[in-house]
Amino acid sequence: MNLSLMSLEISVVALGLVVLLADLWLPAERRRALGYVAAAALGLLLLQNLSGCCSCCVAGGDGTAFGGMFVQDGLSVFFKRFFLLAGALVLVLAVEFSDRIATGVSEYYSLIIFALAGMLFAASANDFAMLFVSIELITITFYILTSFTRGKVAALEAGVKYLILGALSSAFMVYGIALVWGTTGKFNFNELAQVAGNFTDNKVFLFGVVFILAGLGFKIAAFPFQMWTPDVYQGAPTPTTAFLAVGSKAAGFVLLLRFLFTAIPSVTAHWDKLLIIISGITILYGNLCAIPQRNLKRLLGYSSIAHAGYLLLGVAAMTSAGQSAVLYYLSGYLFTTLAAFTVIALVMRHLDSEDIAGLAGLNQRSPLLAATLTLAMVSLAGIPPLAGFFGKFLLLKAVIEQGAVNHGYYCLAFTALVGVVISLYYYFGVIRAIYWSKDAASREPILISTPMRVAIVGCIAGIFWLGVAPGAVLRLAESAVNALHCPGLALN
Amino acid sequence: MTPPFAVIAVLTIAAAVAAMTLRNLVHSALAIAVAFIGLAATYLQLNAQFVGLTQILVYVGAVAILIVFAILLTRGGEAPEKSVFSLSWIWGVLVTLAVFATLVWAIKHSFVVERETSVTAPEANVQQIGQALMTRFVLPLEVIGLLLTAALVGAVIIAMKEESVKAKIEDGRSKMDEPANPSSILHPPSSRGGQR
Amino acid sequence: MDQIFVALKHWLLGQLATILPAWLLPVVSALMSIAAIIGVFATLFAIMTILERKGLGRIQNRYGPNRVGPFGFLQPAADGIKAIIKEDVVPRAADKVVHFLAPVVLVIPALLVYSVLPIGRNMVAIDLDAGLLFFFAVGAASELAVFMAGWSSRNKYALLGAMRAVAQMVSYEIPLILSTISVVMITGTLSPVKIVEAQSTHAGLLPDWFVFTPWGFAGFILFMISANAEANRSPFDLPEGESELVAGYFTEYSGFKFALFFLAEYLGLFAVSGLGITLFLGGWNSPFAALDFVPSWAWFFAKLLGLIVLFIWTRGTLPRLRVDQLMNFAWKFMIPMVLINLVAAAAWHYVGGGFARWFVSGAIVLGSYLLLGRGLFHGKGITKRTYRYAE
Repeated sequence: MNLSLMSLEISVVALGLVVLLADLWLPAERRRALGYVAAAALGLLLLQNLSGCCSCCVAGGDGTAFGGMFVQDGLSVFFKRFFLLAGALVLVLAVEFSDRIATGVSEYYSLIIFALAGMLFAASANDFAMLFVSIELITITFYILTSFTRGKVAALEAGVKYLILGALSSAFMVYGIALVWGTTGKFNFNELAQVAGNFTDNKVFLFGVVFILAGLGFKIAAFPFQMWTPDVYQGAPTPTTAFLAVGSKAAGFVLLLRFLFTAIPSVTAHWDKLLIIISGITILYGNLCAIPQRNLKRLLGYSSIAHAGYLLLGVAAMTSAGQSAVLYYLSGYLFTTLAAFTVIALVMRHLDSEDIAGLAGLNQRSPLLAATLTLAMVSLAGIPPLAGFFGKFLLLKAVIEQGAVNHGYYCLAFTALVGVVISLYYYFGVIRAIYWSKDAASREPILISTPMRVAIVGCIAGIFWLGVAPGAVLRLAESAVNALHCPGLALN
Repeated sequence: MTPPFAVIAVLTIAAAVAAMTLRNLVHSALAIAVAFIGLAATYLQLNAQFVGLTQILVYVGAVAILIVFAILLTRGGEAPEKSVFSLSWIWGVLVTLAVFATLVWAIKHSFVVERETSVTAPEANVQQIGQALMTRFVLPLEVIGLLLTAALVGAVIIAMKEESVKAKIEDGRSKMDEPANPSSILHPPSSRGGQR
Repeated sequence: MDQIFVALKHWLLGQLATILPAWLLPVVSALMSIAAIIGVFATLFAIMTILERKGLGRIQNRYGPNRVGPFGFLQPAADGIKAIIKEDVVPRAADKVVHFLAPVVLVIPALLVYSVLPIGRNMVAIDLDAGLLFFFAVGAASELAVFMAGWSSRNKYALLGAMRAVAQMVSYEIPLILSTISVVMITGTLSPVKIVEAQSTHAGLLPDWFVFTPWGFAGFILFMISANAEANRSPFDLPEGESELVAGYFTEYSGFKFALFFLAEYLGLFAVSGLGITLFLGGWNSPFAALDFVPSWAWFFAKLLGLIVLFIWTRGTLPRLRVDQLMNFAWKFMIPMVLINLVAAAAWHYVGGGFARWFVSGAIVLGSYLLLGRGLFHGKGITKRTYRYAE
């Protein structure tokens, strides 16, 4: 039993409870600023984690707790930092958004922190019980966060859709876990990996695996389970959408990576075709459906489906190069998406809908926001020298390297390239609306608060840093992925 | 298949089918409560006392009540005039049958492998379950505690009355009514006695 | 004397074993237990109704029933005959099937719960490992029956009563169950039989009943309050408040079905009192070693009668709560209190023997009681009651 491994999770949960309770004693007008305090606290935790780990790598801070249920290795540390950063940025965004929340601002903050705690647990989950429980913590918190502005019909609709489809996917996942457990009798991923090889012919076991993949596919919005994404992205409050796009998706990916490559590597090895097909269809579906969209958040919803497809490229490649590319791509995606949603929240503040036409004249109203959104779109499209480009490059490289094994990989790489070309069209539609549309509804400059400005500049810096100097993060990602392939290391 | 199991199974499935097909939502809710009891009976028959009794306590005592409350507080529990079926139910049935057939096929074909690894049915009494929950599975248990806290806060938030002016309605379709107020036990929309 | 009924049953079974096939014997044995339970508790029901009516009469300064039989003690029989021969009226708009099923569904769980109550030494119908859980699980089914009754009647008052009843039962089920958890924590078992055994020793003058510990005392009081609310009895009788809802969820029932509702209510009350006795009052154990010659079942029923008198007394003296007061009391006082009581029980277990654990456990219970009580009455401005008469 190694409780100190969990100090980060414990402090995040404690922070959430403190924020929840602080509401009782704070006067109403001060509650808004609670979000800044919470974001600063998360930032401190992140800093402490960053500085602490350099020593822990030396001192062997990795390990497992609760009988191998909770694992602290390179992968979980990487994702925990990722989630902390995302959580802090989303909280800043939530403060900006809080004037549109009628009641329960501090509850909104604390629910974000609870969802963050769920993601942290997901990063460390090495067991079906933890996998399910952490996913449920994330999902159920998001049901609430999605329908938080319940005066809006769209938010309620989004909440209900997310709830119904989420419950369905959870049901699939539980059923899958039951089948896998029923056939193998193993709950722990490492233990399962040792016996999974004997079950590759067992249909019930394979069904269980498929059902679990269906549940995880819902989280990452991969192809057959993507239908909730546009509606939920559009209807949810913007900070929720941002967190959903970044945090929830990344949590799905870390669980997917762990499940596929730690728990059932022997099964995954046979399933390259399935992964290739899902990845290809997801890319095409997301990009093609994004073309006619006029609502910016809906467009980003479809683009998020497409990006799930790109990320699946790295999973489908089934090499450590591909997996580290996934991690790298996710880091770039974090900065880019959060930047985009921040701009949406600021610009669309006084508009009823997030129509792309609302961006008209943004260049005059706030050059910083215009530049940020442009950079975000360019990076999402994957144009050098930004984060998105290098990430896509790594993913494609990993896939093409595998082409010699299976020619399907060449087709997949080609599909991905087609997807990138399609995406250029709609991303540049957004940029065109910013700079070249004449009929601006309003000309007044947009005020940006200082913490918000810091967050935006941070995101821009992140986009450039990952694109220009990928070395540091890539090394981190590579060492993180190592943990997947030698789980024995995590066990000792 | 022993006779008691057959009885329980038929009862459970019949109740589940009734829950799907009955027109009156409250009847459906009651039927599903019967299905829950049938499941509990199956667990009890498998010597899983704790699971079976918890199934009754949670599903009959809480979930069924919750469903019934939700029905009464939202739509009055009156039977709809026309059938609740749409044409798409055929597709639903087809998909269900396909999934069922595949599962049966899978189970039939995996039997041999399963035999090799199956362990003897563990004799799990309540004490062992408690000990497992408090030692090995204490972390998921605590996370569930956090989950329930979040859900509770969320339920209160979503059910709470709006304090400020009504937020703008986004798509302008129709003016939303006041959000349903679950505390209005005093104003149930149903009970139109004698109107049938 | 103690084992007379057990011996009787064994003797009967032994006699029957010669006539009946072997596979039938367990069924016959079960039937005998069921018959005994139904007979005894239905009689108790009759006794209680007359006791209650006479007791309430005395409290309210009137005679109560005194016409049928000596001192009116045959009144229950007269009432029973009346209920059976009365016309069974079903409202035209009612949902006939559900309307019919509701009283049946209500009575069955009320009877089932007795199967795990140890009425005397070796006198329990089924010795379940998870008996306590069984008790609550089966008891939970009665909520659905109450709802069925209220909904199917198609009557405003009935539906309102049912909604109130279900809301109240769901709210008070939490403190009811949680207050028993402290006993489970200390004894480490869910079996009522083992819980009674754990209380069978004597320490000094007092027996080792859990009610004589700080956490057990608090737990017993909390349990009895919740039990009162679960049984929908005054001061928690909002679901059937005569002045507001006619008769609540069984307004539209008449004749024998109405009697069944009454029966189920009282059976539930006896059962939950029996559970309280089992958990906190030492079950069938005698209070002093010197009194051990009295049969165990006699102790159980003596305690049960005592609790029944307590219930009647409460009903006669306390005014009815309002809905908001009811819910406030449940969520702001009862539930925090039972949770703290768990801590008190844990302290009792871990502080060790002697005076220290009395002090620690007692301080936790008493301190939280004072704080929560103050919080509950905060801002209510409760002062000495003044009466204004019509001028």
